[in-house]
Amino acid sequence: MKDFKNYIRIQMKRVLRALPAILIPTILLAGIVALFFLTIRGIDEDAADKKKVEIALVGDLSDPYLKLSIYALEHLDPIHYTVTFLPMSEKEAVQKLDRGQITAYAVIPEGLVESVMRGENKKITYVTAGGSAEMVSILIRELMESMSAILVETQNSVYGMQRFLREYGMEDQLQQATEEFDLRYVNLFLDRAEVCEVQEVGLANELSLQGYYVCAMLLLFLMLWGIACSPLFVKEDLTFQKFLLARGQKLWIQVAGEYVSYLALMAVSVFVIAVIMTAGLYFTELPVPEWEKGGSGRLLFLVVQAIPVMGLLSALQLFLFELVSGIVNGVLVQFLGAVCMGYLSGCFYPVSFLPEGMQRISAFLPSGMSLKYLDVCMAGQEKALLHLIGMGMSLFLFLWLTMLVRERKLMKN
Amino acid sequence: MKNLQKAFLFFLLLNKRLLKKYSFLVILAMIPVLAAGLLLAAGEDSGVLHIMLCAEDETDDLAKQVIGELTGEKSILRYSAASSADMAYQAVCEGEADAAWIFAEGFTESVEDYVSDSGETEFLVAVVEREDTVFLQLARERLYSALYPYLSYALFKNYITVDLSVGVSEEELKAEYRVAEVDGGIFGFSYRNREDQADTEAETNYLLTPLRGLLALAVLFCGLAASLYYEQDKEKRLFLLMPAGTGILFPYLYHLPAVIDGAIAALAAFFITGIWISPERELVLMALYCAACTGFSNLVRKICGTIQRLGACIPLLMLAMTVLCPVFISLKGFRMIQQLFPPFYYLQSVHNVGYIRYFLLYIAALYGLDLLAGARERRFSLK
Repeated sequence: MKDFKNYIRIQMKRVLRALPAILIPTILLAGIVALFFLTIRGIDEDAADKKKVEIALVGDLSDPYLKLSIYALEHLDPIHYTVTFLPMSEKEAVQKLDRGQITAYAVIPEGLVESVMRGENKKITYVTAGGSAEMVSILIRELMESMSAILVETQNSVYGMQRFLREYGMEDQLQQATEEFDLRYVNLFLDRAEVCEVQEVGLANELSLQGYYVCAMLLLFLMLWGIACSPLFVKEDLTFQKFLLARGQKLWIQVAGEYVSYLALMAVSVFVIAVIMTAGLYFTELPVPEWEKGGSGRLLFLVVQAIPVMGLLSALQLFLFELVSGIVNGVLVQFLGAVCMGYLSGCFYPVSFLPEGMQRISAFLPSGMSLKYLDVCMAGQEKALLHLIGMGMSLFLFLWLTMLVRERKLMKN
Repeated sequence: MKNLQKAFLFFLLLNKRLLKKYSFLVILAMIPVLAAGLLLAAGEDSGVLHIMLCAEDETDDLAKQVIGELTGEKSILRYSAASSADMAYQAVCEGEADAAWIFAEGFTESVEDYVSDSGETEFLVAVVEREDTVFLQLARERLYSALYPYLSYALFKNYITVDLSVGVSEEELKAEYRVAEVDGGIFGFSYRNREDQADTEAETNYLLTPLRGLLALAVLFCGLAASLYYEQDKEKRLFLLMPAGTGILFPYLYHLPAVIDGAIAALAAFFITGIWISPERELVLMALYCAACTGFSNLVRKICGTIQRLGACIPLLMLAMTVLCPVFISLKGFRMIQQLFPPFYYLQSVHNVGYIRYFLLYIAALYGLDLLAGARERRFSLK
């Protein structure tokens, strides 16, 4: 036990000396992760009319019916909560698209309304910059396809009605009937929100999207944090460890000592960042609905709750460091591990966006377990113990694997 | 000519050496694994929103028909049928589904009533959500467009039989309604390069769309890994043994094999996954991107100075590029910072050939800066 305490003391001294050097990249990393979070949160703010999707309209907008349609879409239709239409010249639209000031532009062809009336639809071309994989853009695309289907259905109906009148010898009523019929369709379209009754059941003890992403970003931060420790924990040679073993310092003491110091370093770094962010949150709007009751201190509380996650990830990262030799390999393996596991566990897209097979894999990954546990903590549910058991087992598995690898390396040496 | 031959020989030797490093092989292997993983994932049933569908009256044929249409379609939304309204409601409350669309009892009759002039408009579908997000608002438009053909037909029928008071059979009405059959939608989708196809699976599946951006980042990561190896070799003083080791061009030559290996793997992945546009476009853009990645990696290496700083800097840069370049999301308002990174120019130029001029300017500026930083580095090393 004395050996164990001494070894931990030595390791703690070592990591404390490195703490200032590790804090600088940690703070930068926290800044970037926070920016990532704010960006993702910005997408959801679209719903609150804070940042609408801007689409430029170019081409022939002179037709009065077209003007009326655009006016209706902008002012009367539910779509105006999500999209803003900006009429401009094509040259201006191209410039704005290249500068990223608009999401897309729509080219209205000449004689569009007449072509629709004749049933020979000319196409409105929806032009995007490409290369940008924006989820909202894909959704808008689906929305446009839906709108297109609605228009075609309406055209079928109007022409059907006109033919019906002709066949039944009621041509004298054609003009008036068409106007009346069109008006009904306009009403049907504009009142489409009334087709359904929306009931919001509230979040109860489930997570909001913002809450989910706070957890995901905290996890991503913890996984990437290990990279800054590569110079400290990747071993170029194992002479000292071999010497300790020869002096009777058991393998588990070495691994446990390094693990405790690694965990302490991670915890101190994260708490420093959390304190800075908590202070920042005090002066700004709280980013997640789950924190509305507890105030800015909830971030600090979440970090305290995340200690088991830090425990698991410390063991995982220590194991990865043990697998490689050289700082370069240490950096690369930590980065690749963090990004791959982060993707599979829902740090970039929510895990529910992924196919079920991937979701099942995610549940068994240390990152997947950690995210589930953080979600439970954030939502204030009482299922945390269940996740802690799985995480605890994984933690011991990684420490055991680290010992095995270390033993193999020492024997080889 | 002799120098060129020598450079090519160095390139081959450095590449051979690089391909013996297992950590680099792992990075290279990541490219096909990533592409295959995303391709497989895209083929599976997934969606940005999970929507439960159910009819309060299970015997209602029209409701069953709409549910069948929705669950059978390929969409960014994932639909599944629930056995009861309670189950659908519960699934939303417990976070298993994002929304439930519950078709009201007597749905078929309600559709006809909805378009009649009776005044009382009962809702047709109860939508249950935990919170109303922009995604769910847009998803409701899909619900409406699924209901629209039935509403439209009901309106047609109501107008003919009630307003025009024409006595006609249901079959005849249906035949007249369908006889026009206007072809084609009103929207076409295009990129800045109008000839590029915008309707392929790779361009419309949300799991595949980030692939090009992710692989571009992987190519740059190969370059940054080469920077780490370069610093490692410099620390071991390996370059002192080589006559070319102190030359201005040597660092570029050192980075180039790593970037080119990554680029070849990425191009192969583009081809296999179907996001390949045309040989000319892909090869020209990738050549420019390789030049940019080489310059960028070398500049970052010079700025960082030590292997430790470079090691700490790489994940920060990679994460910043993932956020700021249009890989997963297209950010507005950060243009100045976005323009610092090579993947931004590459991704912007993919469907907008005109943007290549900015890409060329960027590469020129990058190499100019790199040479300046190189002069500074040599001055310090001489001291």
